[in-house]
Amino acid sequence: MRESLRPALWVVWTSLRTEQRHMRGSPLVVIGGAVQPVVFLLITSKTANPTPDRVTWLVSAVVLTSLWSSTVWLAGGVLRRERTFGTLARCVTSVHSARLVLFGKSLGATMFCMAAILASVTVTVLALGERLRLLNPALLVVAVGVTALSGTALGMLVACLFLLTRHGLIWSSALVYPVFILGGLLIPRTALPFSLRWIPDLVSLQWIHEFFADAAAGRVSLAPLAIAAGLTVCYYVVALKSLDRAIDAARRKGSLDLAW
Amino acid sequence: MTSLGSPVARLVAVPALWRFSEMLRLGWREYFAANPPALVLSATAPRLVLQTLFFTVLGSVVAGPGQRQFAFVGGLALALAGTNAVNVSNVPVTDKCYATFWRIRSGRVRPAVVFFARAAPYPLIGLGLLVLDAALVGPLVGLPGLTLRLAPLVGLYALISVTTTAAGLASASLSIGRHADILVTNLLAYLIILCSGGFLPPGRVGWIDDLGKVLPVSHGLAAVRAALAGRPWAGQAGLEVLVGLGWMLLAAAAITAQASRARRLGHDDYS
Repeated sequence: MRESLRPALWVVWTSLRTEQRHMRGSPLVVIGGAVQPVVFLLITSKTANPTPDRVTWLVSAVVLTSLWSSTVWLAGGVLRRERTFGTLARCVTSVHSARLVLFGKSLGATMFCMAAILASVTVTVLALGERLRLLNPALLVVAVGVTALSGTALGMLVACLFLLTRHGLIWSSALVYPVFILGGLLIPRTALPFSLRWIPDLVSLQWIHEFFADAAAGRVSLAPLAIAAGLTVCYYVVALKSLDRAIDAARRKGSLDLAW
Repeated sequence: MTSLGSPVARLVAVPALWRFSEMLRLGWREYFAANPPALVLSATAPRLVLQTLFFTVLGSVVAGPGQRQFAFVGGLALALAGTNAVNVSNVPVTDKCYATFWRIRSGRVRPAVVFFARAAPYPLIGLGLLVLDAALVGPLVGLPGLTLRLAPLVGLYALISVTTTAAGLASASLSIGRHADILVTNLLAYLIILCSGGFLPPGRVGWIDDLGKVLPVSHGLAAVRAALAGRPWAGQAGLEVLVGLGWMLLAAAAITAQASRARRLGHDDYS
């Protein structure tokens, strides 16, 4: 069903706010958005004595790594939580498209997590007295925007995956580390075996990290950001197709809320 | 209610060994209901392997090959923070979810003993997964020799597996009443990662070292590293035992206090 713009924006906005209200009391936000990035930053920056350029690289890698785990745990869990609360059917059978609901919820979760991660990392960097090399503000805003949209798309993808299993929580923890290792963030591509070095190319967060790493070294290259945006579009297409297929299958089996 | 006579007579009316074996059996059944074997092998074990692989390779990236060996030895213990310290919260959470705590606190065996018996699968499964973890990750990161040298030290890792479970049970029992068990047990896991010397070598940040002294893993890992270096390790192992006993006492006190409150206030929702 083709929606006009205004009701569509209302659905997205309402879904976003609902998800953010729900997340205010979530322990996973504290863990993924505040505790994990601080711990990762402390153990990586205190194990060696990094240069300011290296600190900027580490901060970028830690922020994006934590964003990935928050995406899996929170944005990726929006549909799983709806099913737990018994509200999934209402989300996907209303007069408004389920795509808009999922997009709004995933965007709300991603923005909330990003705010928590950026705040906790900023406080930690200031407390440690580390010096960062900052981008010019306009580019920083663009990069953060691409990161938020990319995290949203990844969250939608993972959310659709969790519709297929009742063990979503356990799969969440299993999904986190493959990207930690092969995503080209804290562990750079050069540290991977040669035959696996193509995998980070498929991860948009890696390209965003490359953009920040270049900027930290004094080079501003928009190509990585453009590639990240392109990959994000691909994620959206796959996520929306997956959502449609999951809902169709659940309707055929009559198992929308008990689909496992 | 018919009296069974003296307390001693009541105790021997049902053999203690049978009671304990039933509690253990319940623990295993509960564990596998929440973690079916297929899921343990397909999701939990891979997560453990990937986590250890991540910390080992990260050590190499951050501070070179020396740190890779350090991080591998520590990463094996850090993996237990998730499987034991976090997951053992299932034991009190299950009673809260299914409103079954009143049956435990009104039984003959003390609730703390029931909880400890039901928590028994966690250190055992955790240790089994750790052995698998070491066997897979060691050769994968080019450290097969170190893996073999660690084999005789599996007893120390078993000790760490018990102490992390005790800390997890204590944390969950203390926080479940405030609906904070997920937050507190995960916080404990990350504090172990930060403060135990599993990745960040001791001596870098004072307050982190101080905090690590009262957390599980720190002394056990120090014992493992001392044994690998051919230095005396029994003292550190003894300290790990003391830390574990401290957390067990805390867990027992929290469970006992909860049972007492539930009797007094007439509810079993831990709040």
